[in-house]
Amino acid sequence: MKTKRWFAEQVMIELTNDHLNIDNKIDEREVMLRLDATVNELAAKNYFENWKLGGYGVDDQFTTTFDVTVTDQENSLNSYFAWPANYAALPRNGGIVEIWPKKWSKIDQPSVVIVSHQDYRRYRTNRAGFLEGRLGGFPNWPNFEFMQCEVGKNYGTVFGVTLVIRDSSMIADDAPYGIPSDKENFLIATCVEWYRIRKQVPQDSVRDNKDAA
Amino acid sequence: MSDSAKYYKLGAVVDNFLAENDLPNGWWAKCLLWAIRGLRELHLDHPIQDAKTILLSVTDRNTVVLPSDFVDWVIVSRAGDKIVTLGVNGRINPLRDNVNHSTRDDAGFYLSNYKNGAIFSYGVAVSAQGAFRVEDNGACKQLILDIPMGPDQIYLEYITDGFNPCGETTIHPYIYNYLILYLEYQYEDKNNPKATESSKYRKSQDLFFATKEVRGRFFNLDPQTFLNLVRENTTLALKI
Repeated sequence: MKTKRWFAEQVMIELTNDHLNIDNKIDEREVMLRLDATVNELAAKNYFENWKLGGYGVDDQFTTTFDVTVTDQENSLNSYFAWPANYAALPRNGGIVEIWPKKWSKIDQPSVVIVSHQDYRRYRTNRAGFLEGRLGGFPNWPNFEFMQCEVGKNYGTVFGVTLVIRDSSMIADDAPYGIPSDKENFLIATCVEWYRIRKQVPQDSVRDNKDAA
Repeated sequence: MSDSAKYYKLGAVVDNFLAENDLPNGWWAKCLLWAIRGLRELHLDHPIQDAKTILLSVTDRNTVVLPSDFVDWVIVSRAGDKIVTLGVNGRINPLRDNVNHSTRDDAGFYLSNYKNGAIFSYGVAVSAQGAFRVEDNGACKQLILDIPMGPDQIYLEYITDGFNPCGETTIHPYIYNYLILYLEYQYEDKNNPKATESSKYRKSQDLFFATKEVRGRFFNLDPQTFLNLVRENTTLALKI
């Protein structure tokens, strides 16, 4: 099973050209963050590669699912939840793969319709404005705002959110790190290249009074 | 096939279109907009095919608030122990001009003793059971009754434009394929970045034939019916 720690180890081995020991200056936690950043870029790239092939989605191995809690506001204001993480910027909110109520009496509830705030305002004047009775909403950072009030009361407060994201805090170091098999080598090579370039950047090796924090 | 499976929800048409084309959820609202427009265009040509009957309550002001998908009335009946027909519309108008002025209809014609199939009287006079008129000033559609009626409910059979803005619109299976092709044409014409002139033309042709198919299915005028209509006043007397 390939974990995040395994990937970090591969990067460090390639960089040291030796067995890893206590003298190694790069910490594996530092590499993990770099891995996550690279995977985020890969996810967006995967989207556009799929687009070339005729599809428009991001591979499911690039997505992460969170549980969020919906807050109902008073005075019939729209319900909302706070985004658990930042997602990839893809056309038509493609970074948000799906939002759905997790604890609702009816199992057939379709996923929440995602519109933009601009569309939400524009569509109010025509018959598509009420989405044929479906639950809809729009990203209004740092929240996702529903087009209805009392969503938590009617649909349950727990919603599932699937985002195109690699959040390092959400995936444990020992848990399987879902990288598509054809992207594994590319991921390691990209991270190694990043560290090699960084090593070539001149360092401030003169100790002077500017080093004080 | 169960009854529910014979009809499609408009939202399900959009779902199917997105699934077929691998489009993400962010396209849903826009595709619904297109689907509604496609359905509306179709109903401009074929409104007479969609009639439905509902039970409505009479208000304290002796009026009946008409549903928002109301186009024109067909039959108005008083509900109660016995259903009494108040009027049958003889001048159905699928496209009412209600932009700047109030449109009023009288109660059509009245059929008495209609229940056994034999009509004993027929006339445009006001029904002895009560009369009504339909008022549509563009913003409010209502049916105004002349006298208070006993049971406070009426049956209204009316022509609908096919929409249910307060819930989920259901569509006839004949229209399903047309709507999918309408969505595909709109997507190709406006949003598909890989569209070419030839692909747009192909989609427009598909849509054209789908429209013809819908018309053919709804208005199934076969040769025999046509002959019957033409020879309505012809007798088969021998020429000597």
